[in-house]
Amino acid sequence: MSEEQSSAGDGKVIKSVERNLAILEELRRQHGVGVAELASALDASRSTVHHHLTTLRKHGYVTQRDGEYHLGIRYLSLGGEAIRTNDLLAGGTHAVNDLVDETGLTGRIAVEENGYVVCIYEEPGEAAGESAVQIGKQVRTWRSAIARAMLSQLSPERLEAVLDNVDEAPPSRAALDDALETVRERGVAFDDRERDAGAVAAPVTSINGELLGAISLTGAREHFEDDAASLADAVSTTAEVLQINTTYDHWMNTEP
Amino acid sequence: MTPNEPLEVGIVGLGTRGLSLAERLDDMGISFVGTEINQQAAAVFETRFDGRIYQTPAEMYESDLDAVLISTPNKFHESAAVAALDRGLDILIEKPLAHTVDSAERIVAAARESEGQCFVGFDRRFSDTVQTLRAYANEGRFGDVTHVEARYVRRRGIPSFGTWYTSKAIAGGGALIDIGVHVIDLILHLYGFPDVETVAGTTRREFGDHDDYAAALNLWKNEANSRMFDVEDSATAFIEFAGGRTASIEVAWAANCAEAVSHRYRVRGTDGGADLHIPSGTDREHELSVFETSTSGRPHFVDETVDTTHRDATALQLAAFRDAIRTGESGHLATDEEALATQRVVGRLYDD
Repeated sequence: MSEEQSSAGDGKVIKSVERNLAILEELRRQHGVGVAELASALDASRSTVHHHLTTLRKHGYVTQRDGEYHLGIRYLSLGGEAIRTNDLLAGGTHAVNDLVDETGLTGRIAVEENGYVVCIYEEPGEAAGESAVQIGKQVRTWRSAIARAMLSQLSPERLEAVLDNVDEAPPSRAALDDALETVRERGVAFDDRERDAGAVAAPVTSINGELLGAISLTGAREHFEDDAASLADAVSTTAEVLQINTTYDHWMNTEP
Repeated sequence: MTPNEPLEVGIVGLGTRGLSLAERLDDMGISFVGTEINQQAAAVFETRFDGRIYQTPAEMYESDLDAVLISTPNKFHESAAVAALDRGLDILIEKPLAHTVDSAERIVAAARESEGQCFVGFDRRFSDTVQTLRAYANEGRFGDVTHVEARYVRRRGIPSFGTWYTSKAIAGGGALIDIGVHVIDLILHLYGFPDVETVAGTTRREFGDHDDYAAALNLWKNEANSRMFDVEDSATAFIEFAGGRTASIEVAWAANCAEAVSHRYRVRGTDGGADLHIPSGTDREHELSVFETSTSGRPHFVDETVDTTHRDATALQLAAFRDAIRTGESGHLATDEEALATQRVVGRLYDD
């Protein structure tokens, strides 16, 4: 089970690695960018940015197309490895696929680590109202169902860490507390954004209360006007089954 | 292993059932250790029995154990059992054998490869009235037993509403796999495990969806936030065995009926019959009545009430398991193959 990780803390950091990561983040944000643009975005010299890109390209982590730089496909192998041993992913994909078959909506699994909430699995449903692939994406608003499900189960420190990393943060502490209390009472979270799609999510915790992640169903708003209660039941039932399956499978399969 | 050599038993799963097994081992003077994933339950075990807790089943199996009791949720019987059998340990698995027929078959396959003995906790067999009834039947007192009418019906008795007990994925089913298996096992035990020819029946979910299941009676649902309930709360079945013998079964966790619990067997033979009533709990009397005819003097009916001692069937089962560990004799314990026969009847009724 994932342990709560402390973020960088007070340890020393290496400047050039930080710059390197800033370049990668910029490549992720801009979907293709030139050296000059990168240099100005990061307030660095063109030659420094160029050296970074050359190094990354040498190792296959950056690729060049039409004079612009893109993230290399090689990152996928790191990403795949990062989630390969995730307990919730191991047991959750079948359960989420069953939910998708049952409802026709799109199912997702997200986890929280080091203050980042990231979607690690997605199964599109027949009646999927939105087609954007979310897998691998950071959840950047506190108003999404899956973010709220997750936030409702986080310790105050981890909650702060996640909120530091989102683009859309709650207007006030009171608004956040109210919203999360409602989620804890219902056992599920709904999407709070004005948009065509609706979503319902439930946190998945271990039997001993550790947060493992959250699962969600997303689809056209009309599904949530007619069937909100039964969709909420389906998602929370699956989360409860996953709690037992994930906890016991991990326990049974741990070698001494 | 020689008689009287001290035993050490490991318990996998220390929920309510695991703790009640530990209590009985304690009374019997058998030493035991345990493993449990739920930290609160593990703490209760440590406090109550000053018992040693291992972090995982694998870690516990590494210690010097003679045997293992498995009382996890049904779905996890297989992994706990197979790992123990692979080490050649004798095991007693709580009923049912597994949550599905496939899982049950894998346990039986592992048992065949293992030096360890594999038994399943159909403890109702060990009550004195059941053993008396079975002995009468075997002695031919009823002639040929041709039909058993059995019911295990609770007025309001859905266990731990919304926990794994009411989840198809974890328990494998509802009333049928929880209490119905006792009924099927006792019928098969009485008949001597004949081949099962026809299984017909139906399962229903009539109370689990009702918010007023208990409201009118001021009973409570466990854990208000818990919603898992996708299993049957009652079942009715008819079974035909080789040779034309039959059984009808009525099982319910909840039913609108007079008695709080009704657990009865009506045994019909060509020369006589019997009624057996198994009360819930260990404190009340089991009732066994025998019905015969006689031509002494003038033809008449003879109705007899049988008085037996009322011992704790679960403790008697553990004593039989202790003897099996020491001698390799299975006594009245349900073997893995017998439990598989019961599981197959359940599987046919679920149409899994």
